[in-house]
Amino acid sequence: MIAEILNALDEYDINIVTGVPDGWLVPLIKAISEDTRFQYIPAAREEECFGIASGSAMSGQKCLVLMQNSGFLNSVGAYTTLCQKYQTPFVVLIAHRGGINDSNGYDPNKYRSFEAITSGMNLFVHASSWANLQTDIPKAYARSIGAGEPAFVTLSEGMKP
Amino acid sequence: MKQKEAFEQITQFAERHNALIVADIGSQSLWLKAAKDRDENLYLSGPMGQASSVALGVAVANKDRLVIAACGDGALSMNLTSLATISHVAPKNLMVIVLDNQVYEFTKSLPVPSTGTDWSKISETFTGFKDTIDLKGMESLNPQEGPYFVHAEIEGGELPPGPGLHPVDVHHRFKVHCSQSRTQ
Repeated sequence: MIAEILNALDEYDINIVTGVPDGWLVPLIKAISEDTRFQYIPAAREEECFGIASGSAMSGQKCLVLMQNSGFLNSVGAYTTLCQKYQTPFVVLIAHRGGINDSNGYDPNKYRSFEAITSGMNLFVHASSWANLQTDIPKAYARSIGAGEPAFVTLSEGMKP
Repeated sequence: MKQKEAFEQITQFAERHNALIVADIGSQSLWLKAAKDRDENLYLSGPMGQASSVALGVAVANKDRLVIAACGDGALSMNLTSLATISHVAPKNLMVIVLDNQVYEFTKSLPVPSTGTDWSKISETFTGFKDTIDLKGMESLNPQEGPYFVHAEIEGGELPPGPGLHPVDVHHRFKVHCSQSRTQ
């Protein structure tokens, strides 16, 4: 499954990836980091990812962002003043913690806040699955270019072994 | 040195090296535009502190071009973690310049909280940076052997001339320039 996702990214010329790790995303991050078709930029803080992706986008290169839903909550200011203001297209793949598949007691507030803030900001958020990422990420990217704004794609669980 | 003179020197250096410049909000973007408005300039008029991160994204997308991040000291203090990220990635074609006047120039020149920061020791702390230099030292280095950190001490208190350009226009002008440059 991971190989198909990476092939889809490469075929769509998404070769720059940045992010802050979430446990659910580790298989994807490790595979991207070890694949010479991609440059993975591990950021110290999620807000930086929106800057890195915007710099790539404003250079005419495609970039994928990986983070947990709480990472977006850290980054709302940069998102509004940079990504919305400059209309930078890219895809943000979110580990949407705290939903139906997540029993961790420290995650539900992340889920509620992400839902409330993205809904309140009227952002495009598409709920995907590991099986559908290889088609959903390129489609979301095409939409982000057409709309002139980032597109959010969410996962509600980790990859099954 | 006044910030106006610093940006005139940075622009001349950038022109000699065919460099792209990403400038932080406020003083840096407007003084850069006043020095010379170039297609290679990416003015950030909204997100304070993001110039270093945006410049990293520009650098990995344009590996054959020198990329300069022109950061205010107050702005860079808001995104110090970006120095850790840049240090780790260590792109050879990136140069981060901090314009250090120790005040928020657009906020009635209130002092910045980084007044006690020793910017000259950045490359000792974030060891992926090859060296920390000043504006004079910038002239003698090989800009494609970085990343470098440049500490530019400047005078505070002088507001730049405005207005700036619209963000969407800045985005599209910069993207067209980079895309055409890569295909040549």
